Amino acid sequence: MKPLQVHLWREWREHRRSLYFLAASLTLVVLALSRQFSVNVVSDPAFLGWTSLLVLATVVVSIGSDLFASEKQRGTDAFLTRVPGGLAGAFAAKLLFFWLLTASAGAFGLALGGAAHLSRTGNLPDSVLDGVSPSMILLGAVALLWVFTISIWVKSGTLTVPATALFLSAVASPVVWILLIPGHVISSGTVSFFLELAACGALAGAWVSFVRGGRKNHTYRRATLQGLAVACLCLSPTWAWAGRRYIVMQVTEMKVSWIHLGEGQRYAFLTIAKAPIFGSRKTKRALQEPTAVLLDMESGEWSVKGEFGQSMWIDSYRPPNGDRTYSEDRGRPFIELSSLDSQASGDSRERVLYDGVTGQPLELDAETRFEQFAKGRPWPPIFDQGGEKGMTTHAGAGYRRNWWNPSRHMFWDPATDRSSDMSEARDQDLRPLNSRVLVGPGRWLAKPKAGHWMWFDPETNETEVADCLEQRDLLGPSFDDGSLFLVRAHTPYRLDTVSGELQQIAIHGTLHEGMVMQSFGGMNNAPLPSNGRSAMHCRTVPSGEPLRQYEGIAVLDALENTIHVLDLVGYGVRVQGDGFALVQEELSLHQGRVYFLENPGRLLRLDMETLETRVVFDLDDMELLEAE
Amino acid sequence: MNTILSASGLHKSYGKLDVLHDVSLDLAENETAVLLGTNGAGKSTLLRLLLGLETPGRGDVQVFGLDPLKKGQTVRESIGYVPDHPDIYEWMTALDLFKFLKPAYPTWCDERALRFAEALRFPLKTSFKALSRGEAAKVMLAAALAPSPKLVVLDEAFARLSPPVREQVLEFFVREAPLEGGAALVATHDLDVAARLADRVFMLEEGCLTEVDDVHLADGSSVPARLRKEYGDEEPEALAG
Repeated sequence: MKPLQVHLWREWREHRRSLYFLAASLTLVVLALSRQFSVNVVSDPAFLGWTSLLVLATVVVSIGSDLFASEKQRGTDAFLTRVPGGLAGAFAAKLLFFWLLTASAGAFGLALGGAAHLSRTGNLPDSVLDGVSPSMILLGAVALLWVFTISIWVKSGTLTVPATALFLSAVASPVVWILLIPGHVISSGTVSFFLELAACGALAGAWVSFVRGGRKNHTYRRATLQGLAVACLCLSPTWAWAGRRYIVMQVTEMKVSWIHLGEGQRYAFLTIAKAPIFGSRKTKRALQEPTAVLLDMESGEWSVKGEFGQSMWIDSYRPPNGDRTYSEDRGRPFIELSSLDSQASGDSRERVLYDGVTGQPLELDAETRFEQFAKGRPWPPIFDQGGEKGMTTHAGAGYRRNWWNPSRHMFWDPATDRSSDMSEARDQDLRPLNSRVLVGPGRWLAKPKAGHWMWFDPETNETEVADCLEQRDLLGPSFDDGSLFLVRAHTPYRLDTVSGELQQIAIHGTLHEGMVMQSFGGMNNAPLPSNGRSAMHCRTVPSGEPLRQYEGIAVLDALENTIHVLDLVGYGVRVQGDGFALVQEELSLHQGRVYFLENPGRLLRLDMETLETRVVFDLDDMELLEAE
Repeated sequence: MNTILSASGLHKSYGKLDVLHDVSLDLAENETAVLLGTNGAGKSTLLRLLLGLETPGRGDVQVFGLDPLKKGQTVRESIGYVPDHPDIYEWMTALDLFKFLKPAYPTWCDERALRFAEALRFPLKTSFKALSRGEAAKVMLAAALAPSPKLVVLDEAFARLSPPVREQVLEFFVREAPLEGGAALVATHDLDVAARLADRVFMLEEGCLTEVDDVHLADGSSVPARLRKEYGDEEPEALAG
C-alpha cells in the first residue's frame, strides 16, 4: 500500500464504527420523521435537499469537525510527526477522507430522502437537487473546506463549527457589507473567482498550520497564526476588491438616480443625487442631497424644483399591481419635497404632483398636497405598493404558511385585459415566479424559482413543462410571429415555440463572444416586431476577460436576425445604475426613438432607424450650476 | 569510522527555562551510546532535537551528514525511534502498526517484524488499548527495528517494565540492535541498562552534557568508575530522582 492509502485506511479504521452508528441512527431518524410529515411535504423536491443537509451537517459536526483536534487531544499527532512523510500523508488523507465523507453523507441523505419518498408515495422522486445551482454547491464546498481548515486551528472538535461560522462571517463581512448596498451587482465570474481564492486560502492555511508547522516544530499557537496569515493573504484580494468598491462609491459623484419619463416623452422627471451610502452621519447627509429636476426632452431645457441639493426627489406612485403601470391608470409622477429635519423625525412631508404629459403641477386638495402624518402612521392608500401578504394553504394533513406576493403570480393579457392567478393552477405550488413571458394569445411561459420553464394556460389553469427550454434559459419578449427571443449560455437565439427550432442571432459591433440580456424597450409583455427593430439593454461577455462584463444598448433587428451593440461601458466596477439603462422600459419606445441613460449623468436618445444617438441631458451642466 | 550523528553547541529553552546548554555529541558507526540523566534532565528533548522533531535555539545537528530539520523525512527513514511511552492509536494492533509503517520506511521487512514478534512473544492482533505496558514496549521496539535502521534511538524504552520483561527486551535489543555500520543512542536513568548496553556513556545534568567515561562496558560487568564515585553504592533507581 502507498502512504496515502495507509493513511486513508487509518482514517477509515478510526471512524468506521461512528459512521456505522450514524448511518443506522440517521436512517431511523429520517424515516421516522418522514412518517410525521404529510405526503405533500415528503414528496416536495425540497425534502430531499433537507434530508441531505441533515445527514451532511450531522456527519460534519460529529466526525468532520474533529479530524485534527482529536489527534491533538490523544497525542497521536506526535506519532504522525515522527513517521517519515507522516504529516503530508496524514494531511492528504484527511482532506480526501473529509471530501469522501461529506460527499457520501450528502448522497446518503439524498438516498434516505428518496427512500422516505418511496415509502410514502410508492414512487421514486422525479428529480434530485432540483433548483440547486452549481454556485450553491461551490459555496457549500468552500464552506466545508473551511470547516476542515479550522478543525486544525481549534483545540477541541466541538469548537470547529461555531469557530468556522464566526470566521467565515468575519472574512466575508467586507464583501457582504458591500453587496448589501442596495442596487449593487457582482458578476458570477467575480463570485467564482472569490470562492476559488477562499478555497485556496483554506487549503494553504491548513497546509501551513498542520504540515509546515509540524515539520518546523512550531508551537500550536505559532502554527495556527502562520496558517491564518497565509489564509488571509489568499483572501486579501477579495477584501481589496471590497475596499476598492467602497472607495469608489465613497467618491462617487452626483448621478441621475431616477428618471420618470412622462407619457408622450415630452417631459422627464429626474432625481439627481449622490450615492446614498453609509459613512458618518455628516457624510451620509452630505452625500444624499437628492435634487428634483424637470427636463423638457425636446428643447433640453431643465429646471430644478425646489432648491438645489435640498433633499427633494421624484418618484411615481403606482397602483398596487405593478404589471399594469403602463396603461391608462399608470401613476403620475410626483415630486416629494422634504427637509432634512423632517426626514429624521418623520413629522411632515410635502408632496407636489406634476402632470407627466404637460409637466405642470397638478391641482390637488390641501389634504393630499400637504399631508401631515406622524411617524408610524400608515401611508395613504395611494402610496401603497401592494407587496406580500400572508396566506394559509392546506397542505396534506398539516397547514403551512406561505408568503404570497400577488404580483408574482398574476398574468395579465394586454389583448383581452384579463388577469389570472397562477397560484390557483392545479398541481402548482406557490413558489414565486422568476419570470413570465406572453408568447401568444393564451400562451404563457412561466418559470418559478428553482423550477423549469412551463406553459401556463390562464383559461384552464393548467401547466405543462416546456420541453423546448432549458432551466437556465433567459427569455426575452416574444416576437409578434409567436417566436421567442432567448439567451442560452450567453448566446442569443430565436426560438420557434411550436417546432422547438433554434436560430442563432449574430452579434455585430463588438468583439465580445456572448451576451446577457437585461431588458427590452417597449411595452411590457408586448411582442417585439418580427419585421423591425427593437432596442435592448444588454450585458456582453468578453472573451479572455473572465472578471469583466460590459453593458450597453443594442438594437435587435428581427429581419436580419442580428444584434447591433451600439455602445459599451465597463460593468462590474460601479454600482448598478451607474452604467447603461433603458429609461423606463415600458415607455421608452416611442415614435421610433428610445431613451437611455449613461450614468453618471447623460441621457441619450437613440433613433431606431439611423441608429444615431443624441445627448438630451448632461449632468455636467448641473455641476456647473452647482459650482456657480 | 564514519560519523552517524553529530551535534554541536545545542541550546534549547522553553520560555525562561533553559533545558539544554551548549550540548555537543558525536556518535560513530557501530557505537551504542547511553544518555544518562534524571527525569526532567532534558534527555527526551535532546533526542527529539537530534531527530529533527524539535528546533534548537542555537546549534547544529547532522544525522548521516544531513540536517534533520531540513531533510526530516530522509533522516527519519533511517532511524528507529522508540518514545518513552507509546503514542500509537489505541485501536491499532501490532499488525496494524506494521501495516501503517511499512510504506513509510523503504527498508521495512515484514519477515523481520514477524520474527521479532515471535522472539518477543507479543500478540499481533490485540489493540494497544488492551496491551500491557511491557507488551506495548515490545511492539514499539519491534516496529523500530523492523526496517533495519542505521540509527536506533530509544527514549526510556526500558523504564517501568517488570524485571523479567526488561530482561527479555534488553536481551533482544543486545542481540538485534548492533547493526553493521549503524549506531544506537539510548536514553535512560537506569545504570543497569547503561552497564548492559553502553559503548559510551553521556551524562546530562542541568542542561549540560558530559561524557562520563570512554571505557567499553558492553560486557555488562561494570559501570563507569566515575559514576560509582558519584553515586556510591546507591541502587540505580536512585538516579530516578
